[in-house]
Amino acid sequence: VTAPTAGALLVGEILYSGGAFEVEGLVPGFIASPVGYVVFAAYAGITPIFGENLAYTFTQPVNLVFYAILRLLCGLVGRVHTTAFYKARGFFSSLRIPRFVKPVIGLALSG
Amino acid sequence: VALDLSILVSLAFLFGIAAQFKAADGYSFLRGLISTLEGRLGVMYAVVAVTAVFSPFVLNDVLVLILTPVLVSYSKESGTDIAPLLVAEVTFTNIAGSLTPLGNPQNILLWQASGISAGQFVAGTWLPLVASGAIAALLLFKFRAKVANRNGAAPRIGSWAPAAYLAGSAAIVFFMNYVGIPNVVALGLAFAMGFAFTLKNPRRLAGEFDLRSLLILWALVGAVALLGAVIGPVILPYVAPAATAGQPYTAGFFGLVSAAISNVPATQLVLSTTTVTPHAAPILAVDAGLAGNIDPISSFANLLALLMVRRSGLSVRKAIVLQLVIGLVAFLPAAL
Repeated sequence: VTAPTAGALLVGEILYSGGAFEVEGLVPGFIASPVGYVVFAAYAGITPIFGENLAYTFTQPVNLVFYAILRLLCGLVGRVHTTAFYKARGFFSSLRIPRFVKPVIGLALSG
Repeated sequence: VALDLSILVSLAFLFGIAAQFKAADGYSFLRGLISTLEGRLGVMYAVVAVTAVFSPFVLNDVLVLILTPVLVSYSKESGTDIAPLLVAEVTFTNIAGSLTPLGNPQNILLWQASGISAGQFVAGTWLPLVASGAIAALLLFKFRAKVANRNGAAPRIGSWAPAAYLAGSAAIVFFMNYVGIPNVVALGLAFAMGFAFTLKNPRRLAGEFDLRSLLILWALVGAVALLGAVIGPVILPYVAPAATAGQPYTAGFFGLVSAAISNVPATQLVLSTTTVTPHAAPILAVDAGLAGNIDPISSFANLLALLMVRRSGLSVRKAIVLQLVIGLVAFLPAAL
């Protein structure tokens, strides 16, 4: 909710795999998401999602380079996450154990 | 909110000029011109020449709308890769469209907001755009031999009336601007002059006026202006340095933001958040325009071209990768 641009992009790609994109939905998404965010902000305010005490003052434009690198790293982490998710699902599907035991294993692993 | 009625009306007149051009048979004219130039330059550089000459005077989306079907048919008839043709079209439409206030929507926004004349605008944009165009033309040279010319009968130029109209409308805007007449009036007169070419067929003009795209653009600009008004204080530390045209920050800002939300919303976000000085407006126009070449989202002209090619059944993956490489290298003059 607090990332309107990301929301517009997400709705365009969430229906597809392999990097495909609903191009026709992008521009309407760019119109709808700022309006939706403004309506949300009118009630909830524009406080950052992690709180207003995380003070950060932007002083060094060069930091944008690191943001760009962070963006790439986040993309890679997302890729690792989805790959690990499907690998884990495949692994547990192949296990010949009672179905109710599978979430118990997951529960034990997650602590 | 840095959005007033004159900006919305100016955008409407810009679409009106594009509609007059199309109604004056701009489609046939541009297709014939490419066919004529193809024999001398090869089809790829014919596309480069046509887009470079006409993009400054008509909306970049219109050129894409006209030329992309031509490129698709070339690719299918000759069996050659569409990627270099598509990249040539989009790249030079974005570069040349950034030259004047008439070439794309973000230029109109910046021109209106800054209050400078059309001549001052061009004086501030031409140098980096020429440099970017030269770089892009050199990079495309490698692909020249891979694009075969079309076989069989090719369309010919019928009438030069569409070109005369664009030249006349540009002359009106520049002259009236020079004598101090408001931009919106100059654009309105340039639009009205088109009736000299299209009055015989008013239905065609009505059919060529892209009302849907205009309404979408108005809604988009309005939504971003609204967002800018709400979150302006939060993003001001990031946006304010970009509005001063200090380099390389401004180029980096437009490169990153346009790649995420496209160059028209990026420009409107700056205008809604802070004030753009007359000196900075042409520099921002260059940065936003050249940023439009980086990825498919960074310019609506890119999206439109890729969508049309994909609907024709051709692959766009190679074109996207090639566009990224050429767009990034051709973006470097934006930081000057």
